[in-house]
Amino acid sequence: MAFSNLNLSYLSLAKSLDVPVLSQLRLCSIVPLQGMTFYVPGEVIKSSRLPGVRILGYGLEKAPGGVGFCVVQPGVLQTDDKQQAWISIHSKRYIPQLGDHVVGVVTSRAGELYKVDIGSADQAYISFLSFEGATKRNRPNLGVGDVLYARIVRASRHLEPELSCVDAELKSRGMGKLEDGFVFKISTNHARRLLRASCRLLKLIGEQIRFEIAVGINGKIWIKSDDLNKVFFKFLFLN
Amino acid sequence: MSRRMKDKAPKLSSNVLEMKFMKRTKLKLEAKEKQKKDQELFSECNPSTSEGVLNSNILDQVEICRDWQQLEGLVFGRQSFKGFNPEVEKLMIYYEKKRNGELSDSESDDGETEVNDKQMAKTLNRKRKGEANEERGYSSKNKRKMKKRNDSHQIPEKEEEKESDDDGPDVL
Repeated sequence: MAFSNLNLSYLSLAKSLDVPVLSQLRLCSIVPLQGMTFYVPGEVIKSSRLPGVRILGYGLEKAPGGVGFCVVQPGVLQTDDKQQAWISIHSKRYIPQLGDHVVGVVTSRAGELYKVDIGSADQAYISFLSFEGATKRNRPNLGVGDVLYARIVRASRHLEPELSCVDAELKSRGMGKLEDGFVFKISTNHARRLLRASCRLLKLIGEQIRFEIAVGINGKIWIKSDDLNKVFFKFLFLN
Repeated sequence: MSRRMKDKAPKLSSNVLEMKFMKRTKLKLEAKEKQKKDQELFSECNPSTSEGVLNSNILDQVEICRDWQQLEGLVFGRQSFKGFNPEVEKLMIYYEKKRNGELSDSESDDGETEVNDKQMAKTLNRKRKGEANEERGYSSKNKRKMKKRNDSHQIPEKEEEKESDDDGPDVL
């Protein structure tokens, strides 16, 4: 099978790169915590290493033959008390996933669709009907360069990702066009870290400065504030 | 046989599910249905797992979830601080409740209940006293205003007396 061949080639690549050295180097720069292991694609984690795991997350696949789990993304293995295991990948490239909330920029309009740049390999599209209160007659007022906060409703490796600005109950609930503000890009792992419930960075900045933010899991960030001073950006970039 | 058994289970009619207040229930049911269908399709494609050959293996019970929001317990990405955008701050409360699983069906989007606790307590209290018929959903203050406006309408004196007893002396 092509799949196993792919894994083998990854494995040989990993061997030639001298993995232990690589892993230690990366480990220092990504996660300063002890007891975490770095994995490269092709490595197989035996199921005895991860006892009681019920939910398999990003970067892990079931290895053929029922041996354990196959790593398909390079990163640090993470587990939590909800019996989940996933690979936390340090990357700037965004791969669309169903249900992610992303920040995108409208790049063009084609008939009933808007093309939106969300930083993935392919451009995403959004139908003009996927906005709250939009009908065939009442179209959303969007132009090229407008910023959207939207949810990914279709992510397939064969098709372009599709976005929507309404949830299952057809309400926007914070999604839609973002007026004014400033957009910049950070790495995807940084964006996830900002959104983690335990992360106090945004709250700390919020105690000092009056502002509004939209963090997309794709690493695009939109900020709006009365005084976009240098201190504010320093805060975000440093951490 | 098993399929017949499943069909016999009580179901909500499609007419009921179409109603606006049943939207959440409808979504839940649809999600369940989809999961069931996916499982059937999967077991048809992978006969080895359905035959129970590998069922003893722990790996077969492992679910796959690629959702970062669930994996890392992420919060909603739009946030506002120090009242910059009050709408977003309401939404933050809504999503926080949703994340903690505290959201109840009676709550509206902004996290406020349609009938607040005080109103509820008041109404129930009056009902107990047997005055519920008099109220008809208006608070006594509003009603008094309405009475002043609509002087032409005849209002029984009895009711007026009762109300003044209830809320203390009227300011003239």
